[in-house]
Amino acid sequence: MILTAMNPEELSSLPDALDRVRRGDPDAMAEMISRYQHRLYRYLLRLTKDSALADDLFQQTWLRVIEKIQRFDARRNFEAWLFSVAHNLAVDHFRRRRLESLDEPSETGTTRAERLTSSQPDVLAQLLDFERGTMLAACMERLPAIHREVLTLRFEEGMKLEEIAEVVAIPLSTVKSRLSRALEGLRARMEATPR
Amino acid sequence: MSGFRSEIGVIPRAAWIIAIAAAIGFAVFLPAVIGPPDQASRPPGLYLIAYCIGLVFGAYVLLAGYVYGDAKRRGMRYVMWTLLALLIPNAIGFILYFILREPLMISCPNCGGLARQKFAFCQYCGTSLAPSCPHCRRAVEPGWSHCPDCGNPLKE
Amino acid sequence: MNEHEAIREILMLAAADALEDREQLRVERHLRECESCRRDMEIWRAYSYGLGRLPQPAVPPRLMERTHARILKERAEAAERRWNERVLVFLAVFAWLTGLTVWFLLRMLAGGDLVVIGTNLLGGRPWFVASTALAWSSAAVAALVLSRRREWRNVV
Repeated sequence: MILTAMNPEELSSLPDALDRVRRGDPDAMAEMISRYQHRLYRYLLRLTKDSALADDLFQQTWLRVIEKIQRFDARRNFEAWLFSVAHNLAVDHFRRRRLESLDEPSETGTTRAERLTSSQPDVLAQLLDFERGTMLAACMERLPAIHREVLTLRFEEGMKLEEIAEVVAIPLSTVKSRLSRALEGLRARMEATPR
Repeated sequence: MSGFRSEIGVIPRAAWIIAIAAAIGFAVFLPAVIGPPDQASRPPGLYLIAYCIGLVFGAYVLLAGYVYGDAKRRGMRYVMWTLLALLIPNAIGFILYFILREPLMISCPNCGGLARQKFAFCQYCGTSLAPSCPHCRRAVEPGWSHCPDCGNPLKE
Repeated sequence: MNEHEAIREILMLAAADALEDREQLRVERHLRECESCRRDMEIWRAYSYGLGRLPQPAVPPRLMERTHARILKERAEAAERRWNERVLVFLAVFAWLTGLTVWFLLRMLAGGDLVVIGTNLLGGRPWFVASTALAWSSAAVAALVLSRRREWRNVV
């Protein structure tokens, strides 16, 4: 079960909302921004770890989307496009600042040998405890940006691998390998953290 | 924001009167001045030419009127700009005006006074019009991390 | 690499529902036989569960309103720029029209020639050169004088 912020009624009126935005209805635009604000902001925050930057990129994403919405083919997946615009803006930002790159991982990930399988029941209990989610979040923050990105897209957005491939503009096989390396890295960090 | 109708409204009434008078005047009197004195031997094309010249003259006056009204509402030196527009030959003055004109003034949400867009605080009542640097108080834009004038970091 | 090793490589993907049906079945088949992989799978499942239930960040205040306002502002600015472009094109055409009209009118009024320093000012080329030079130089002088009193701004 994966948490999402949408409910079924919103899904069915998405084509109508898109139509109204295209026609220039200002209320439709505000509604559209509200509909995705929590998810899009969360994605940008996980990616950049900077709330002011995520705020600014959020606004720029919507500016770009509204600009190009006339030429958007309604049959395409709108959400994948929305997140891919956000992804590209974040990549441009990182490239300009020459900070952590979103193209190459800064670490290669951990090896299987570093996983401590003897501590299994402990880890299990911890993860199922909701408050300990903060420890998981803290470990996730220390992962490289491209790993954080696939983790949030898969588990918080609930995107299928094909959608993730579209958002991040990488082949499906790379999505799989990034996802497995991300999960291995996360687990290694969790199990190495002293409690 | 700037629709054609609202821009036309900026032209003062006096300019309209002068423009129309000039256009009619040219159309009526120019053929007599530049053509043969008696009406019968004037080619009909002459009237058309006179009318066109009158139109150009009228448009010139209207444009000058627009510069007058527009410069006034933007807080510029409107008399100087109107003269520049009128006197620089070949209507280049108008092009100069359009390139150099100030952006429209905004009204302060607190006291209603007119202030330039680049101001950070209203000059009459002091309310904040735009985000400003905490150190030097100059206007900054949202999304900036440092003040471009004094270099201090901005805290959002 | 034997089957056990191969499955261990993709266990976390299976827990994340990231495998095709064929591979998923292969993993499940192995899990029926392998105790240690079953334990490992439980852990990966817990991670998948936990990653979907991380503490959610709070959206910054009035994010939607600020974004909406910024979009409207950019739209208005873009519209104004397009309008300004059209006005400038019109003014350029008008400038040529004015120049031609004045020349034509002067020729008509002066009866054809106006000789100054040996050249006919009202001939085609001298007039074109003289009026263009006069227009552009007076505009340049005006622009220089004005720019020293205020900062240049790129409105176009």
